[in-house]
Order: sequence, then structure tokens, then C-alpha cells
Amino acid sequence: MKTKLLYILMMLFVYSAFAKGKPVMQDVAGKLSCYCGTCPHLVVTECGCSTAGQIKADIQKMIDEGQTEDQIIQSYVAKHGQTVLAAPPKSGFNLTAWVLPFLAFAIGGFLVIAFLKKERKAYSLSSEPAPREMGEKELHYRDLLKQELEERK
Amino acid sequence: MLPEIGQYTLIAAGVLCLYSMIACVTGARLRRADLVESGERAVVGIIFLVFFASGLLVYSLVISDFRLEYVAQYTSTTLPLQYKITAFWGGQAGSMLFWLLILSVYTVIALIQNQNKNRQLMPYVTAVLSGICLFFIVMLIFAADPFKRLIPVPVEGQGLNPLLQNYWMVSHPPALYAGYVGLSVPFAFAMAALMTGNLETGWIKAIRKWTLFSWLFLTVGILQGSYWAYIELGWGGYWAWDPVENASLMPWLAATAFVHSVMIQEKKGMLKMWNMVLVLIAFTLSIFGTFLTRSGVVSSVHSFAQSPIGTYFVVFMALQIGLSVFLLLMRKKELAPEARLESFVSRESSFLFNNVFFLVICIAVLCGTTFPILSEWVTGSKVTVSAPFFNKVVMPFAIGLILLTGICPLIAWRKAGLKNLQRNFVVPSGFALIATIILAILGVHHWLTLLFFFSAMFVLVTVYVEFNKGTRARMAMVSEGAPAALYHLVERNKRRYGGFIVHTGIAVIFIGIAASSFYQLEKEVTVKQNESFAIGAYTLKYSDLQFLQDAHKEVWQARLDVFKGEKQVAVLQPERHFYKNSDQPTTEVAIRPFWNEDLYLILVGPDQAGAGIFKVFVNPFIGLIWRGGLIMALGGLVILLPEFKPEFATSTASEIAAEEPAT
Repeated sequence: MKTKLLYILMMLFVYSAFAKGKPVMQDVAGKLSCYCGTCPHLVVTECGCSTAGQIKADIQKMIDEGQTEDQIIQSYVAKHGQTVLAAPPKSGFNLTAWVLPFLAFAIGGFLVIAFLKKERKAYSLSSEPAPREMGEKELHYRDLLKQELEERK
Repeated sequence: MLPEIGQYTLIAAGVLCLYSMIACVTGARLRRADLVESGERAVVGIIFLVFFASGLLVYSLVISDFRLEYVAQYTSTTLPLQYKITAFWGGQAGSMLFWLLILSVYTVIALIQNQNKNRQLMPYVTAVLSGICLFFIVMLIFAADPFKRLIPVPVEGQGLNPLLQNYWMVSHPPALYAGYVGLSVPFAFAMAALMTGNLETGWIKAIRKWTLFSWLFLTVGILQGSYWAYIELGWGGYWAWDPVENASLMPWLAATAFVHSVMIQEKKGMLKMWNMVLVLIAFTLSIFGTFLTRSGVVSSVHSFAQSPIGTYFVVFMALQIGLSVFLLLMRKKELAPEARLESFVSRESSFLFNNVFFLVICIAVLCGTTFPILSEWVTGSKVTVSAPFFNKVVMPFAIGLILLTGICPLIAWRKAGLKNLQRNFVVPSGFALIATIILAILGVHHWLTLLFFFSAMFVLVTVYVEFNKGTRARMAMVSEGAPAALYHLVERNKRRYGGFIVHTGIAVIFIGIAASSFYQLEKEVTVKQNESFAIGAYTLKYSDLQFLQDAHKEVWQARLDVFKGEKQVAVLQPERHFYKNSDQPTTEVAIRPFWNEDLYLILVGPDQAGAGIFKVFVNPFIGLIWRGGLIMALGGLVILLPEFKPEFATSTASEIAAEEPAT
């Protein structure tokens, strides 16, 4: 069993190494935003303008010349500045944008759990008896009781 | 003379707003009913004056009175009449006046609704709403004057942006504004409750429907906008995470969180403080959204500095947030809960997690939308934050939220035991899993699509089980046929079942998003006349190209015959328009919807040799997004319908058990 698992893991590793070999145009273009000026910073793969068409053709050419994804993207950043990146890089101050939502989730989750703990404690200290789930039989008797009470009204 | 009449009308409205505020608050403080009444009546004067000013602007737009800068900026003599009218909300100053117009209408409606209710609150509600009106009037007078004169008077105007010359311009912005502005009323009630210390659940009842009303219009507005983008902007998608779109999504998220958590306050008297905070957040975001889209702050910090209205918005938001926080802190003790939560696993706690998810998505959207400004401000360098960021960051929370949509209604109130969970979870999760496995066997292997699909199916089965259970109970108890039982079930408990209909819509939208995002086919081709190309199951033959023109524009129109196998299934005529008043060409996309997918064709243009350049997409199940939207709107309408009051009580035990609101 262990050998099988190891084999699968190795295959996955080999596959991922190969998969990284040659970049795909769509992937690279998907990381750049169009600078045609007419669209709201659409991703190059999504913009229908001629500028986006030219960028895609250029990327394909660079891939055919053997450049890596990083090299291609860096060449665009060098030419057009950081704004050409469709999403901010995950480094430096830009990391804030990536981390903040997850941090908010962690804080929100923590606060809710802390709140629930506090509430449960306060509840157990109060005199109200804890509710118990009713079984099928009890539900049936409750319905009967309700019906009888209704009829008596 | 006309421009001056417009300006004076606005000034008079402003004076009345100020009077209404002072009279209402003073009257309430001194217990002078006559003063309060006078203050409330001033609102009628405000609405009359604002209607008059709006009428003047629309009249000027219709007759192309280029003495007004606004008219010259957004219309031309050749512009069709309907777009001359829609130019009212097409530009900055006009859209502010439109905001004011809707707000004044809502103020009057809120007053009429509460003639004999919430009397302690109403003077303050009126004062707050008049205060918001005053803010917009001040801005209209000093910073974004729609009646500003243009000297010298031009012979022709600049015309409306061609992208806005579309049927959707008639209905999309008004729907969004109706939603945005509607959030002012709950805010006014919340402030009034805080100011008076009248914090019973009465005010909550008064605003629940207003929030739902705004929510419904925001939902419809957002979906219309996405459809507009899909058919008009011509990139095959429907949501670009553009700041303008995000601005409408954020208040929607906050309002959705509120309509969920408000149930806990109504049912248990808990979360009073939190609900108050949500109302304040929703309103702040609606103002912030208007600021974001109208001040130009998004394009650059520098354009914000040049924009005259930016500072007004910042000052107003600072005042509004400051006052809200101060009042909240002042009333902290009175907002203490009336009961305690007793379990981690209960409907109440699942609502709290639901709120966390809604607000985290809201924070993610806010963070992404404002980060370019923040980055420019802090580091001095601009960055772009577009779809890849939002998709990555929002996706995990969106999936979590749709799962919760299915889970919440299954968990019992107060405390859910293992039995409750087992009984309710086995069927939906089992069915959803089987459906997902079948989908995988049919060839869908993208794990995210499968995860989306599983979550959506889970919700759909949950909703089905609930409807089925309720209908059967009625059929057994009241001896009704299935359709009548279903009808009465929904009619008697609109909130619960309307909510379930909304959930159905959301699940359908999710399936549409998953299928069209991960299985879209795309191709860009250059073909000569009478040549064909294929995409998916279709072959498209480019048969003709025509050049047409009218008074406003020149049009390239291509004709393509579409075949599926041997059979011709459609003729598509995509166009490219060149408007005389604009350098920016626009596309008229040709779409042929099939039951399972859309064939979406864009004419990029004829090349110099006369061949046609086309971009073509096959978008699987994309239509589900708008169908789901219609279902959501239907659910919202069901919830908003007036309550049905039976002549005599015939509730049975199972009905009582069923009569609790959905999530």
C-alpha cells in the first residue's frame, strides 16, 4: 500500500515538473491586464480589442522563442509598469490586499466562536432548562395534545 | 432664465430640508406636535421642488437646450428621444439629482406608511432623511450643478457615450439607484431608534421590508448590469469586477447579511447591536458606492483631487460614520440581548457564520476595489486589481456561503442534536453527491465545477425537501390537492418559502457560473467570404459583409450561417458601430441561445483585405445566470407581498412547526 502511495506521489511530482516546462499562452495572458484604454482593465484573454490580440500574438512568439512565464511577464512589467499585472504581486505592500480578506475571515470566525462560547456559558448559568430533542413518539403526543387543546377552545 | 429657475428651485428645496430637520427635532424635543407636523409637511414641499427641478432638467435635455453645460455634455440634437431622457442619470450632476428625486419620493412614502405608527421615531426619521436630501442638494448647488450655464452656447452637444445608448440604460441605472437610495430609509430608522432610545423591535419591523425592497432592486439592477455587459461590451463575459459593479455588490452583500440576521432579533431579541451595525454598513456602502463611481477616485487619486464632489462625500461619510458610532456607543447598554445563545450547532449560530461569510466577501471586494488607491497613496506606485485577484480571493468564501445556504435551513433553532442533523442532512447530501458523480461520469472533471455543482445541488435538494414536506403536510391536514396545498403553503408563510425561492435562484446562478467559467470555448478567426470555421458542435459560414450608415453612425454588419451537423440552426449578424460623436467603436454582439449553451459572436472588424475577423465563444449554461436571477427576484417579490391574514385560525401542529422563516 505504502509503495503504491509513494509511486502515485512520485508520478504527481514528475507530472507537475513537466507541466511547468512550457508556459501556455492563455495562462500568461490571463495574468496581464489590457492597456488599450477602452476597457475597464480587462484581462488580456478577455479583452476583444486589437491591442489584446497583439499582446497575445507577442506572448505566443516569446513562448516559441523559449522564454519562461516569469521572463515574459517581467518584460511586460519593465515596459508598461506594474499596472500591466492583472493582480498585484504577492509581495511587499501588495501582500496586504491578498492577506486582508483571509485575515478578516480568521478574525470574524474567531469572534463568532468566542461570542458563542460566552453565550453558552451565560446560558448554562441562567436557570432556563436545556431543551431536549423530541423523539418521534413525543412529537406525535405533542401534536395530539395541541389538537385536543384546539378542540376544547 | 431657465437655468436660474432650476438653481433657485434647488436652493429653496435645500432651505426646506433644513427647516424640516430643525422643526422635526425641536418639535420632538419640546413635545410640540404642531412643530413636528410642520416639519413633516415640509417634506411635501421638498418633493414638489425636487420634481420641478428634475422636470426642468429633463425638459432641457429633450429640447437640447445647450445653454446648460450638462445638456451639451451628454446629449446631441441627433440623439434619439429615449436617450435624451435617460441622459438625466447618464452623467454626474444628473445622477445626483436623480438620487435626490428617489430619496424625496421614499421619504414621503415612509411618512405616509407611518402616519399612525412609530410616532416617536418619525420626527427623527424625517430629520435624518431630510439631512441626506440636504447633503445632495448642497452638492448639486456647489459642486455638481446640473443647471450650470455654458458660455458660449454650442450649436451641437457632445452626445451620449455610445455604450450607454442601449435599452438597458433605461432600466438598469434606475433599478440600481432605487436599491441604493432605498437603504437610506433603514438607516434613518436606525438612527432615529438610537437617538430616541426607542430600541424595541418596532423599528426593525418597519425597516425589514425597506431593506428587502432595496435588496430586490439591487439584485435586479446587478443582474441587468451583468446582462448588459454580456450582450453589449462584447468580451464574452458578464462580470469584470469593475469598480462600478463592485460598488453595487457591496451594499447588496451587507443588506443580504442583514435580512438574515434580523430574523434572530425578531425571533429572539438578540443581535440588536449587530443588526444596527449592519444597517449602518449597508447605508455607508451605498453612499461609498456612489462616491466611488462618481468622484473618479478609482481611476486615480489625482482625479479625486480634481473632482469637486469627492471632498463633499468624504466629509458627509465622516460625519455620518462618526455620529453613528457615537450613538451606538451611547446606547450600548440598551442594545443588550434579551436571550442567550445556547449551542454552537443551531440556526442562530449558523446565521452568525453566514454573516461572517457575507461580510468577508464584502471586505474582499472593498479591499480589491480600493487597493489601487491605497497603493498609490502609500507606495506612490499604481497597481491593477482585476478579475484574477477577485476570482481567487472571493471564490473560497462564495463556495462556503453557498454550502451554508443549504446547511442553515436544515439546522434547528436553539439547539440541534445529532438526530436532527442526521435526519436532515442525509438526503440532500446523498442526492447532491450522486448528481455530482453522474456529472463526473458524463465527462465534467474540473474539480471546481464539481464542487460548485455539488454545493448548488445540495441547496436545490434541501429546498425541494422543504417544499415537499410542507405541501404533503397540508395535503394530509387540510385535504387539498397538491397545487392548492403548495399555493397555500407559500401564501401563508411568504418569508420562509420566498426565502427558499431566492435560495433556488442563487443555486441556479452558481451552476451557470461554474459551467460557463470553466467550460467556455473561445476562438478568434480571420476568414474570407464563403469560408467556414468550426467551434464546438457548430460550423459558421461567413457569407456576407455590409456597410450601412444613418445620421448617427456607420455600421459594419456581417452575416454568418450557423450549422449544427448538416442542419442550419441560425443566421447571426454581428455588427461593429462607429458613432460620429465618439472615437470609440462599439460591438453589437450576435447571440444564439440554445437550451444548453449560447453561441456568442463578435465582429472584430473587416481586415484590410476584406476578410472578416471574428471572435466566437460557446458559453455553456450561461443563461442559467439570468434565469436564476429571475427566480431570485420572484422569491424577493413573494417575501414582499402583503401579509395574508386568515379570517379564523386553523393552524395545525405541522403548520406551526413549518411556520418559521427560512434563512
